[in-house]
Formats: sequence, C-alpha cells, structure tokens
Amino acid sequence: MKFSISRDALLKPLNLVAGVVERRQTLPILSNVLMVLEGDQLSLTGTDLEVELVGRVALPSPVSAPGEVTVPARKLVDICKSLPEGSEIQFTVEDGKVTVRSGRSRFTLSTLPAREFPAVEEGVGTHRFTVKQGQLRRLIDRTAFAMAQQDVRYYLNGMLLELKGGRLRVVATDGHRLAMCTLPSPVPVDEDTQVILPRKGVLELSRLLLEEDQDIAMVLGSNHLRATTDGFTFTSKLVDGKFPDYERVLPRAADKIVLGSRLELRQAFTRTAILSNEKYRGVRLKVAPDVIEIVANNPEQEQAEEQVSVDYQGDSVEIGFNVSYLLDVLGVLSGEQVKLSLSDPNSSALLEESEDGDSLYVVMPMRL
Amino acid sequence: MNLQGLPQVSVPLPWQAQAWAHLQEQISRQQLPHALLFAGPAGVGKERLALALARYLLCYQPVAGHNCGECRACRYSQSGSHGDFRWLQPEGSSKVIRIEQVREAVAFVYRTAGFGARKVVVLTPAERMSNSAANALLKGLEEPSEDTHLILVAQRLQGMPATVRSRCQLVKLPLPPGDQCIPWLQQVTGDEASATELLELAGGVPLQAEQLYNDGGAEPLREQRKLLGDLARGKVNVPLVAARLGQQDLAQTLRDIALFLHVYLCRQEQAGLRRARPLFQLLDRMQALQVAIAAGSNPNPQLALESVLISFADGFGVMRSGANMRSSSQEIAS
Repeated sequence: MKFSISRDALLKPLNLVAGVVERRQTLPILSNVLMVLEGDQLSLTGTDLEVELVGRVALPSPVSAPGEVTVPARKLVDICKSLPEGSEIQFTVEDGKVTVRSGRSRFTLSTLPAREFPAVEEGVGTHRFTVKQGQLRRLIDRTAFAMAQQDVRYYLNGMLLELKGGRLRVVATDGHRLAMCTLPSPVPVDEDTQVILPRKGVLELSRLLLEEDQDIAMVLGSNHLRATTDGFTFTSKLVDGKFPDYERVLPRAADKIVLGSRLELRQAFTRTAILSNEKYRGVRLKVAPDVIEIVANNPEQEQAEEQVSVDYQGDSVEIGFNVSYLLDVLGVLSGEQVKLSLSDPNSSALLEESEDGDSLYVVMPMRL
Repeated sequence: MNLQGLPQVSVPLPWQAQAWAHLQEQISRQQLPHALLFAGPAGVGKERLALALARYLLCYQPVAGHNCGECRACRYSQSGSHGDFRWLQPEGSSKVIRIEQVREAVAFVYRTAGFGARKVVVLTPAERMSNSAANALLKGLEEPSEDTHLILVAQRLQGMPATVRSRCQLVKLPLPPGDQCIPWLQQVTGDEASATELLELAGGVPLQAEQLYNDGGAEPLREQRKLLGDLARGKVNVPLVAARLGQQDLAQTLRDIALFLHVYLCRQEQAGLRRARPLFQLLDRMQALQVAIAAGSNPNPQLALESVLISFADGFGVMRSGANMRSSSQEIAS
C-alpha cells in the first residue's frame, strides 16, 4: 500500500475524523484511524464505538495496490498539521509500519491490523430521505440546547427525530423545557418513524454540516442513524427507548398572548438575571396591559426590576420562570418579535417567533 | 483481566460445566436474566466464565456450546474491540470502579446495539464499586433495554449494597473439589503428581495453582511455607521471618499466611480447635486488614506484618503448650 496526497486535502477530513476518536481510550485500536485505499479513493474512519465517522478523499491518481491499515489518529493529525502548507505527503506501508514522508521529513508510525477495527456494517436502514445541510443544521441549532444531560430518564439525553405524515420534526426536552422545530418542506417517506439520536451524536453531526446548500442523505434504521454527505459518512447508535409524547406538553388553552420585542426582552432578562438566585435562577413576570414587569431577587435581599413595553391586552397575571430557560430560547430565536402565550401561573408558557415560525418552545413555570 | 489478544474461543472451565449447562438452557429458552451475579472465592475462574458467557452471547453462530471463533463478532471480542461489549474493572492505579465508568456503561446499556442483537456488560469485581457508582448503576441494572445482559462478578457478596444484589440472579461458583481440578491442571503442568502438589500448595484454588506454575512462584512459596512452619514450631523468631516475608507485597503475604492458617486449622481435631481461639482471632484481624487494604487504606507494611506474625507465633505457642505437644508439632511439620 503506497500513495501520496497533498497535506491540505488530507488535513480537513482527518481533523474531523480524529475529533470523534476519544483521547482517553482503554483500547489501543480505538485511538487509531482506519485508512482504506481503494481505486483512487482514500477513506479514513474514526470511532468511539458510539459514533463512527468516515471521511473520503480522492487521490490525484489511482493507485495500483489497494489495502487497509490503522494508525494512531492523534499523532497522524499532529504530524500533518505541523507540515508546511502545500506540501505533498507520501504514505508507505511496510512490515506493519507506516512511513510518512514529506520533503525532508520522515516519520515511522506503528500500526494495528485493520481487521480488528470495529467498523459498523453497511446497515439496512428502513427510512431514507435527503435534506439540505443548512436545513438540518437549523433543526439542530434551534433545539439542541434543550437536551437533557445525564438524566436518569435516559431517553431525554438525546434528540428525537420524527418522521410523521411526510414531515421531519426534531424535539428535545429535559423535563423542564421543550424545544421543537419542524422542517417546513415535506420529506418524501412513506412510513412514520421516531428515533432518538444521543447527545454526543447530535453534537458530532452538527460539526459536519458546513455546506449550507449541499445535500445530506439520511438513513434511519432500528439501531443506527446514518448521514452521508459528499465527503463524509456519519453513523451513530441510537438511544434504545421511547420518547415521551411531546404533543401532550404543548399548551393548548393559552389565552394571554403577549407580543414583545425579542431584543428588548432578552436584554431585560439578561440584566435582571444578575440578581436572581444563583441556583434556582427564578424571575417573576408581572404581565399587565401594555407592559411586562420583570422582578428578580436573591437571598441577599438584592432586587432587580425592569419594565418592558409589550403588545398585550387582557387580565394581569404574575408568573415565575427560570430565567436561563427564557434566555436560551430568546438566544436561538430570530426575528424582531417574540410571541409569549400564557394561561395561568401554574401552566407552561409557549414561546415562538411569530404566527408562521417553524419552532416552538415550551417553558415550565416556577413557583416563587 | 486483559481483554486483548484472547484465544479464538473462550470456553468455561471444567468444574463450571453444571453452571454453564444451566446458563445455556436459560439462553435457549430465552430466559436468561438480564442481570447475573457470579459469586465465589478467588481463583475459581468467575471472570473466565463471565467472558465465555459474554462471547457466547455476542457470537453470531455459537457452536457446540461456545462461541464459534470465526465470525466478525468473535473476531472483535477476541481483539477486545467489540462495540457491544463493555468490561468494567478498576482502571490504572485506582482500586475502585469509578462512577464515571459506571455512568458510561449505563449510557451504553440504553444505546442500541451496533453489531449484533445483544449487548453485554461485565463488571468485576463488583464489590469494588464505590457507593455512588453502585447507586448510579441501579436503574440500568433493574431495567436495561432489551437483549442487554449485565454480568457482575463478586468475591465478597456482603461487600456489595443489598440494592445491587437483590437486582441480580445469583450464580454461586464455589471452590471445586480437587478431583475436578487435577485433570485440568495436568494439561497445564504435564503430569499428575506435580498438578496434585501444586493444587495443594495453592490451597485447592485451581487458578492460583495455574498462576504458580506459570510465573514460577511455587518454589518461593514452598520456602515461605517452611519458614512459617518453623515459626509455628518456635524454631525461628519473628524479626527474621518478617524480614524475609516483608520483601513481597503485603496483601499477598497476608493471603499466604491466611491460607497457611486455614490449611493448618482444617487438620485440627476438636481438642486442638479448642485451643486455637487466638488463631481464629488472628484470622479475623487479618481479614479486616485485607478488607481495609482492598478499600485503599495504606498501613505501614512492616508494622502490620510484624504485628500479625507476633500474634501468629503467640497463637502457635498456645497450641504447643497443650497436652499433646508432640503430635501437634508433627502435624505442623507435615
């Protein structure tokens, strides 16, 4: 096995693939990257047994001897990174050693047999569809913050991807707030399905979505989610569980509709948050016609008060919230206006950008 | 236990045949519990049984009651890189299984399988989980996702929280009788006489006998036995013995002394046992000391060893002062 490739063509996929490989690995082979040479294509595979990423690079000329080998990922990245830009790198595999040559540098790396590398088989997915990377990125960016972290309700430590009636929707919740985003354009699939992508898979997947207008082909199976772009194939295990019925959480009877400037509200919340209880982060919202008063106080008896003028007609209501949850939502929303729907101090609030937004956020109130 | 470069096929040990047949039957009837607890004294091959079971469960096409050794799953489990298999044991210099390891394993338990149908987690030694680690395990141990098996391996059942024990089906693996071990040990050593002698030296613990053979520890152990025998008969004094024994690891020395006492006490008759109270007390004390060392405390080796040896010498002094001193000292000599 012998080939040469330019440093810059190799570095980008190698960097992403090596990012999946965990630093602290008890198994030596998992800290390696699998290099497979076939025709004029070199593929690089990294895995942590939960998420697998394959990067593909085209070689300038087809090679005569195909082959496969695994080499230490971190060391290879460090070597390629520190070589000068625009240089050519030559790889030679001989007697269980990989020799990397470039200009007057020469490195010999140890290898492990490629057959021991646990690569996920070409799976049989049941649901296939293609979306733009930008669309998927928006779905993830808008909801990922609400995923739970190390919750005992293991099915919350991830993101629900739901195909239902030809539309793709993602939902994330930690039990206190819920974020939901629906793809506006229909997705041509016949059957409905639900999968939960684990937290780590969500974060890794979003790192791949760099080209807004390029397609990404998704395959959902019972055990895996696979996403394929031009240069990469991403495979993740799923969370084996049932996601709670999120439809039941969406407030239906909200009759108090408040419309306000997103930026003004966000700034007001940011300021009042300073004097909220550091642990519980509670703020009190006093909603009255045409104005919201935001009040926060902490155990040191310090108090912050803010008034924001809003568009609201109706009865006054007083309701408490964890200000971090509100700020998270206002941070991912875009647009001038934000719509806040309330019913009473014991019911969840619904936040959205306007009538025709694609995202919905539910935040539970706090008793203050 | 090192999980890399395993043999192609992992089989249970001969004396585990009965337990193995029972497990096989449970598997074939699809009634294998999701949480198993293998319990028994050190050196009976609990971990080997756990490994054999894990690889059997992961194998695509098990043959003749063990994993096939040919399929992809077996190849991965052979090199230790099977994605649906986790083996938890204290890492590095740590003496306990830490909570992060358990959390990672619980997350694994709730993931879908990546290679075959089943997932397996082995936790060994389960009594070395810290309290918080054991609590983090409970939920996953009670209700893992489907086709997931957790195998806990423990030496001291009482060292584990009852909440963990009660969630597992217990499989007891007692010390096998000698006649079941000797044919197996004979394959290792080559002839029956040395197998029998080794097994006796190892106090009837088969895997320890194997280890003695493999690392050449039999000769030093024989000398050590003789030294302890001399001390028991009052022929040598404590400082001399302490200096000789102090060269090796304290935990190991304590195990050897305990084994010597066990073998000795097993041969006593009623009259002898009556006088052996100090020796039993010494055993209790040593056990407490061993537990403390296993839990991470760090006694001064020389002081601990000398105090044990002084009690040892005193205890045998009481034995010798009994009525038939001659016969008991003969026993010691044997």
